[in-house]
Amino acid sequence: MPGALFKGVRISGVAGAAPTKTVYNKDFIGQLEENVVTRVIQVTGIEQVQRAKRRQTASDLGFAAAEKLLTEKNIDRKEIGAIINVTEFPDYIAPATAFIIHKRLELPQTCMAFDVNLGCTGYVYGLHLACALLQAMTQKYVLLIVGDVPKNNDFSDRKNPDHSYLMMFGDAGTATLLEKTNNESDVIETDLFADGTDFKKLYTLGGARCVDAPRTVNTWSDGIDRSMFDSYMDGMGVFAFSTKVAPKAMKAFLKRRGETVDDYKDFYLHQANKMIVDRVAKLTRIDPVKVPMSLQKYGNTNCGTIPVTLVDHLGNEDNSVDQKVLFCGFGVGLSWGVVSATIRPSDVLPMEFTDDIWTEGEIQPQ
Amino acid sequence: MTELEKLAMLEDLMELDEGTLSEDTLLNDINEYDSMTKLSLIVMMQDEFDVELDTDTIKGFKTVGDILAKMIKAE
Repeated sequence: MPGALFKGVRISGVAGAAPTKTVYNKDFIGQLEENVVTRVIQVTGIEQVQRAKRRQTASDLGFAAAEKLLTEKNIDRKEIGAIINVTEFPDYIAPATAFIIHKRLELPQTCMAFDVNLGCTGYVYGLHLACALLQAMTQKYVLLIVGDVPKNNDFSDRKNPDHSYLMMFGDAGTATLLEKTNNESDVIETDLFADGTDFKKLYTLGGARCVDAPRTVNTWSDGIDRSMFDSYMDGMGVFAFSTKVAPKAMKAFLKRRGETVDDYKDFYLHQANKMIVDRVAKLTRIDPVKVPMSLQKYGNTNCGTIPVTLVDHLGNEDNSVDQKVLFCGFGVGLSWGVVSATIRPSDVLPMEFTDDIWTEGEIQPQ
Repeated sequence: MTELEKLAMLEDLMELDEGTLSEDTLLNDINEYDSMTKLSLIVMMQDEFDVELDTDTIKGFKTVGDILAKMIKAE
C-alpha cells in the first residue's frame, strides 16, 4: 500500500511575505472588455492580487518570510539540517536558489540545501521531503521555503493577452519550519502521486528543449498571443483533471486511515480558482465552511497557495490548541497529493508585506 | 429525459431564455458559450449523466445537437 507516515515530526511554524502593491482585477476593464473581466472574476473568484516589483524575486519573499519566522520563534540556526526551496522561478539556472537563501539566513555549513521544481503540489511534496530528511538527521529542524514570483507574464503589450494569467496569478513567498519532537503523537501522513502523460496540460517552456525556439509572439489556436517561452494552461483539461484526482485521493486517504471529513478542522486545497476549489470540496463532501480560501485577496500564488491560505486564515489567531488539517495539492506535472498534519494557530505568523530586493544577487559581468 | 428537457438544461446552464436553443443552433453563434460555460458543462455531465467530457470532445462540439448526443446516462 503506497503512502508515507512520519512520526515524531510536526509543523512548528509558518510565515508568509507578499509584495505591497495590490492589483485589482476590475481595473483591467478598459484594457480588456468588461464582460471578459467580469467572467474571469466570476469563475476564478479572484478580485485582487499582490504584485511584486519587476526586480523582486520569489527568493526575496521567501527569505523575508524565513527571516521573520526564525527570528520571532528564536530558532537556533545551528539546529537546521536542511533548507528546501520549492519554486518554478529560481533566481538563476544555477546554483539553486536554496544556496542563496542559505547564505542570506546565515545557515551553518552542516545545513544542506537544494531546490525543487514544482508548482501546485509544491507544498504537499515539500512537506513529505522535509519530514523524510528530518527523520534521518541529527538536527532538530528542516526549513521549507515555498513561493513563486513568475517573471514571464508581462502581457501588457499584447493584442490578445492571456487574460486568465493576467488576472489569476499572485506573488508570494512562504517559510515553514518542520521540527523533530520525538513525540509519537505528532504525526504527518502523506499520499503523493505523479503522472507525466498529460504534462502538456500545464507548462512553462524555456529550458534545454527550447534551444532553437523563436522568441516571437504568435496567436495560438485558442486565440491567445504567446511565445514559446510563456506559460500555457489547458483550462478545461486542468479542471477535468483536478476535479477527478483530488476528491478521489482525499477519499482514499481518509478511508485508509479509518477517518471521515468530520475528523478534520479545516481542508486547505490548492487555490487554483474558485470553480475548481468549490467543485473538489463538493465531490469530497467537505462542508464549504471548512475550506479556507486566500483566492479573493492573493489569487493563485502557485506552489505557495496552501501556506498562503494558512497565513491568511490563522496568522492573526493566538489560539494554541492543535488543529487537525488536511492539505491537498494538484496540478503541474501532472501531480497531486494529500497530507494530514496538526497545526497550532499561534505557530502561524501574520502576512508580512515587503518590496525588498536583494540587489547583491544582480550579478554584473566580471 | 426528453430532448426538450435536455435543451432546457443547456439553456439553464447558459442562462438563456427557454426556447432559445434548438438542435441545429451553432455553438459559435452563442455568445454565452464561453470557457466558463464549458467548465459548467463538464460539471453538469458528471453530475447528471456520469459522463466525463475531455477537452478534445468539447472542442469537437459544433452544434447544440452534438452536446445533446452526449447527454445520455452512462451504464
